[in-house]
Amino acid sequence: MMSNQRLLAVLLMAMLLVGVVAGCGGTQESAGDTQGSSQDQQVKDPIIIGTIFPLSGPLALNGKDTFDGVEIARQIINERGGIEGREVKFVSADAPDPTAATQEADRLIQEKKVQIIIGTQSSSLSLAASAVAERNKVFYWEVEGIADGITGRGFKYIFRPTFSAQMMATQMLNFVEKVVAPELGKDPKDLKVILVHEDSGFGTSTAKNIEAQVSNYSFQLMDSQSYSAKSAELSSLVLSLKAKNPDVLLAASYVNDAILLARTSKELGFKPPVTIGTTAGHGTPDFVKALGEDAAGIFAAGILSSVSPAKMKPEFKALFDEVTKRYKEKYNGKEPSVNVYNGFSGAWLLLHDVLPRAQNIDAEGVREAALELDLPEGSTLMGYGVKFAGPDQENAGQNTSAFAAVMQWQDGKLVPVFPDILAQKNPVIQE
Amino acid sequence: MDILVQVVISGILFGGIYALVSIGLTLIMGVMDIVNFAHGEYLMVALYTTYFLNQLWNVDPYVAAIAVIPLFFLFGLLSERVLIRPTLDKPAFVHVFVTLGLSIILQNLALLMFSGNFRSISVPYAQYSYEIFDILINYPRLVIFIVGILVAIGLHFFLHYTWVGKAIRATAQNKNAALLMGINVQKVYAITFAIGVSLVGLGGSLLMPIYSVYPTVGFQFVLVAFVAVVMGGLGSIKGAVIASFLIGLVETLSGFFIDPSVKQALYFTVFIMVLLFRPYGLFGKKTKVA
Repeated sequence: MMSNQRLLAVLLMAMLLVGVVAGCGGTQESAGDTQGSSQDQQVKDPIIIGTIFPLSGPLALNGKDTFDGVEIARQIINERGGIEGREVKFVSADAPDPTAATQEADRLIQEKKVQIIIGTQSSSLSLAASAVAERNKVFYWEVEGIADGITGRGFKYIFRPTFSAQMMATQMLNFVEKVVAPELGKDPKDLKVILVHEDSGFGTSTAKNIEAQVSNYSFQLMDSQSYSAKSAELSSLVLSLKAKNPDVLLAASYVNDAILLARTSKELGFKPPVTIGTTAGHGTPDFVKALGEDAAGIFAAGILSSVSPAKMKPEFKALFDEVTKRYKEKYNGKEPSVNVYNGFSGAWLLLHDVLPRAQNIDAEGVREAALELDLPEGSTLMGYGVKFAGPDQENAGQNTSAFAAVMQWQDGKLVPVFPDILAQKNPVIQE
Repeated sequence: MDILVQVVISGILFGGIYALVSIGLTLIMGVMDIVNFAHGEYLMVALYTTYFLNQLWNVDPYVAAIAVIPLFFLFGLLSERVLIRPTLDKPAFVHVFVTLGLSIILQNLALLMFSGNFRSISVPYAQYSYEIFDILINYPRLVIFIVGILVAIGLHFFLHYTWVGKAIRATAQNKNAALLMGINVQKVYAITFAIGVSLVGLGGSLLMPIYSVYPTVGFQFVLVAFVAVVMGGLGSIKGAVIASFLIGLVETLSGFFIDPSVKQALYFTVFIMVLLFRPYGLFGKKTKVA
């Protein structure tokens, strides 16, 4: 009797284990269209690319969207005959957290022998996975993570077509000098600009980026103040800002403190002509829900809020429509998010512009092809040009022609207003 | 000069928020000798209750307060019966684990049910301010200030001039003597805990027009409430209220004149100074509940 039970237990355990292993694998080989390949006399070897995205867990919502965009790029390339006749295949891995990202990068490289990886949507995952790629001399293409550290480590094999957090700070300053100053009818030199930032990692690093770059501009920071995002009391901060009466308030805030800052400012009658936050705080849906009409006019710099084909080149307009159509077909008419287009844009650049230029489709060849790339503004779906920083330059592998967007709350929507190529409406600035 | 007056007034109004949150805490601490680490989570639940009453049925937060107070009185009775009473005779660290456990459970339940989003309501008067000689007095903050003072005074009269209040004070002074005088100590504890919880419930409703609610919102207020309670003298309602105003003033003045990043360091310095010279707090005696 006893031994029977034990046998049963062992069997159950074994079944569970098998289930777990099968469930964890998470690898899907998306074989593209195979029809016709048997008739072909010479079928060329496919190009195998690893992808690492968070497809489960808390980051999955954006991760899946980005991956969908990447996958649509692969499909279109294959339908157009692949890369020099070679079909592109993905080995896709799911990385819900940094540990998984490390493990999956390792597995793709060691077991699947991939030479190229596309990732990772979230900065923490990207930092983990790209370190493995660098160690193994595998080409790593980051389409979405924006942390400065990703390209700030002097790695040779990591490339980021999208902008970095540092470039978000740059764009805030560009916007102040090029748009805000003339709109307010002031010489930038006379502009009173104050920076406030919450005192944890995000706010502090953003503030450092702003403070480090402001000397390249003709205005100065009148003051820079930190505060705790956990504090319930921001009246003192608001009153001291009010006393200094700035023209422009730059704010590196999270959501909760951005809301409290805006509300307390209204209570105490502090209304600077221009407030520029970031998409981490002032540009979030929670912010506009809390502030309602009071959010109108506030700016947020960072990740583009929506993509419009209006200013795209014809070829990208066609691609934009194609991506939209395919995504809607897959999800019963759901409109694609920015992440889908961004994922597509990054993957398209790699498959359409980098790989065909490579002498050999291996890490070294692709890397050299990427470094040779020099494309003007408007050469990607997301609008930017392409020129990667070389291995001996600062931020090696960063696309130095990428840029962040500046949006403004208009009629309850976060509308892109800067730079010109992304702008869907004009910024509204009133003295 | 104007700005100085404005800063002082903002500080006092802000102290009112701490006062309203800390009164319930000091009552429970003084009478029951229990440090309620879940105090902030009761506040969080009250904020969510007010939020959903507003979102679902468009109930004004001040009207919601009328429903929240009895609701939280029952909530307090229930949690006292289920969690506190069985552990009353146990060592102090058991209370710590029980209330801390409750705090973690409530936080995670909220995270599960409502996600980590920052939710807030918008009522037309939320950012309305009275203007008196260029000094701006925000309406919801004024309401909190006045209600906070009224609650403190009301509680004082309740404790001194009603039979239940006297029983509560007697229990706080000496549990065994109270028991011998025929006071149902168990009932007194239940009522005290329920009053404490319903007061923080009231606080939640009144804070909703100003603040957002999210699962860990309690921490934003309760850390300072603890400081106020200890600084004022454990169990002293007058002490907690005065300490709250003191902290509010120190925070706002230092934030304005020095830097917003130093204010915490400053009020903790004041806190340590007070305890150095008055180890029982500003109004604390060895016996509790004044």
